[in-house]
Amino acid sequence: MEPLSNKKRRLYFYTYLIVFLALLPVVVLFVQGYRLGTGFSMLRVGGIYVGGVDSDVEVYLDGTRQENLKSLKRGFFVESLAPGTYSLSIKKEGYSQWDKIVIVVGEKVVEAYPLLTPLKIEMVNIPKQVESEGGFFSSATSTSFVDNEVFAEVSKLFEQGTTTQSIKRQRVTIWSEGASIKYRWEDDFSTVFPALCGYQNCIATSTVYVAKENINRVGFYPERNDVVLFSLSDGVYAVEIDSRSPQKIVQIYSGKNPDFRVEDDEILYIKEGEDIFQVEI
Amino acid sequence: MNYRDTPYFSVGRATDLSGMDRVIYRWLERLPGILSLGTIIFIIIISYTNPTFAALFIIIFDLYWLFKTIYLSMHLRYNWKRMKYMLARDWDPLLANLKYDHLVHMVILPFVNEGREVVEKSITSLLDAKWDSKNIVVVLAGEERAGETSRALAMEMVEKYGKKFAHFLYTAHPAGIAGEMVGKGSNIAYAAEQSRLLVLDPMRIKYTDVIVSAFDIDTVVYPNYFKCLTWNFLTVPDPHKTSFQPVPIYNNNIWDAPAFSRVVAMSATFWQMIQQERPERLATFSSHAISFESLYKIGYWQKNMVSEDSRIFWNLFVAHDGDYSVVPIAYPVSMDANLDDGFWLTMLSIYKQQRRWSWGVENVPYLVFACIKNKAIPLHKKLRAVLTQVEGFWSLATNPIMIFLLGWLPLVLGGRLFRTTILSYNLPIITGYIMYFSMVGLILSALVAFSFLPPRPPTHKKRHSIYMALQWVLIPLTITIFGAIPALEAQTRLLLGKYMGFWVTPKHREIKNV
Repeated sequence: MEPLSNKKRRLYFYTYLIVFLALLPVVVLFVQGYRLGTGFSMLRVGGIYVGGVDSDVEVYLDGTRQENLKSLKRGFFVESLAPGTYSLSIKKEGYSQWDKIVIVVGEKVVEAYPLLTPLKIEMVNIPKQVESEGGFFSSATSTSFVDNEVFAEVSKLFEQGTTTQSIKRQRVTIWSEGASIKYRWEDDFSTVFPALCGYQNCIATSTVYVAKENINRVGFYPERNDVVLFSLSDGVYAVEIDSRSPQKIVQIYSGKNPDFRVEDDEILYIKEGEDIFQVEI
Repeated sequence: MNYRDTPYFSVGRATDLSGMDRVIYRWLERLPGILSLGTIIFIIIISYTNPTFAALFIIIFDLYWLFKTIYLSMHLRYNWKRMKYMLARDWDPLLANLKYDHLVHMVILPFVNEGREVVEKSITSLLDAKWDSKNIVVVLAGEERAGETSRALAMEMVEKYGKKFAHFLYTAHPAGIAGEMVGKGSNIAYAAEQSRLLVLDPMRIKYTDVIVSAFDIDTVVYPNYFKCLTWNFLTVPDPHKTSFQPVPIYNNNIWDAPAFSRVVAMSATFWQMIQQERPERLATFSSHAISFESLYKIGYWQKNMVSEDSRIFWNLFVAHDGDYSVVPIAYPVSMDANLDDGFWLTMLSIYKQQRRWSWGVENVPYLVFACIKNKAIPLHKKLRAVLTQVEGFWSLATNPIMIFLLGWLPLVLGGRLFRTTILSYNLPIITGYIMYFSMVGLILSALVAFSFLPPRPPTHKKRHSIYMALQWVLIPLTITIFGAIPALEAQTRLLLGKYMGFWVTPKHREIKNV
């Protein structure tokens, strides 16, 4: 059996070369968003990236559910969208719907990080005292109570910090001025996250939201630096920094002059009077 | 004056030369490292300064890599068929029309301190081959520095098998000879000369009638190796201007070696199989065969460098003014996959072996320098040889890193503006698709590998056969960690003038499997 002949090798080589060269411009144009429009005209498409969501969410564009989604990082990429304005909705069972009007431009990808909050927010009361586990001399018929260490630890969180201080996380600083919530980006715009940049221009300092009354406290939503928690006299609220319409604002807790703290960027505690709750959001 | 008579012919490194020659050779030593490191640095810089260009470059490169993989897979598949055919072929009718009684096969087995099971298996495989062993000269090429244990084992082998071959010579390469590097090249060159003085000349055997198989100590021949080699030797236009390259298959201990070692070993086999179908790109590697006449004329293998197996081809290529080639015989020899005491020592052994193989890059300055100095080599041969070598070592050191590590770089360094482009989103999607299609080729790899596996030893359970198929998912890791990185280290060492010495791969077999 003879080695692979030069003739055959050349044939394969040039065949592959021709296919490669033919594919090259197609791939180069495709990855940059060029598509063939009607009448063989070239159209430059854009896309939408929905980030920070799990696989069980549903994505709707102008009321139509999107099936052909590409999983990317922790989110979805909706590709090949003609430039224009779209109504983007994210739905998840048991959570409040999130809507946003987004403008898709050619070559660019619009990013959106939905704020999905449970329709029924679970509050776990942290008792001040808990039942004693009992000791050798304890009576089986009587119940004794001791101070709850968890309550004591969380109470300490509420003793820290003033209501007016600014809070910084990952180059974003937020603070309140009367009824206004402000933010400031502490770096150049080469690394800024999209919520601050809208469609074209990035704004270093701006107002996130103006409330109906003076704000008691601001803080970051657990595991998010683009959502602000704030407390008013009638409850605790969450609002997106992303000011694209409609800006989502959610009441997390309803009560009288509640205060809140977020521990280790993970757990939200709300305190009203002497009661402290751990909030599952 | 013939090039082999010039001082350039046996140069090992730049320091062997002087004046402007030394300066030129030193820059040629730097060339592969500059190209490889330069490519990686270039991609890092453009990922920051021009991420759009970098992303397009990476996508185009990935596409090129996909087509290259398909093209090479075609060669692999063809060589697989050819090797199967060669293994099954009846060689006697082919040899019947040829006169070959005058030919003598000399097998050189260099060893240092390998165990009895390794040495003996190689020797007995020569006896088991379908060839008159009384027509085979065995040269067990030991090292004086290896000490008494090594010598005792060699003498035992001489005692046990000496009378079964035409001649069984043991040579002990003296330590500390000036101008020599400790390694296989100096050992087998000494062994070849000793065999000339002690065997060929006294027995009045013509050098032109001797075919030398320069093996490693773990090389085990398949039954028809000598028939296949003899037929090729007698049918090529000029056997003294030809080297003969079998396919090294690392099967001896494949069931005992860990998955990483198996994949690296089989990948090396696949590369050799691909090269067998591209003979114009083939240089001798590992176990190979040459006429004694050719070896004698150029003073045998070079003694002052590491990669003697490929250098001998380039020596002969430049000595014959480019009129020298390798014939791929598409017939396998079996060797050991890397196996040391324990997993991590084996990993270290694999890395060191790959680094030593990658040190074959020392042939690039030798070849380019010879092409500059030897005006008798035709220009097209110079260009083909140099470009093939340079591209080969550049690809080895950079391609896996570009594909598996640097593909994400524009996303990391590209900045906000780039990260909001559709190109930045398409980059991981498209490269993912291309990688996916490229990896489909792994199924072919698994099939080819399976077909050459020796029977599963009874000590290994059925699940080991499944591991043999699943192991191929390790390819992205093995070609980066045990391909690109040791190649980059070797090229960087050469760039900096930190020359490597010869490192002997430990030959280790589980006794239960012998």
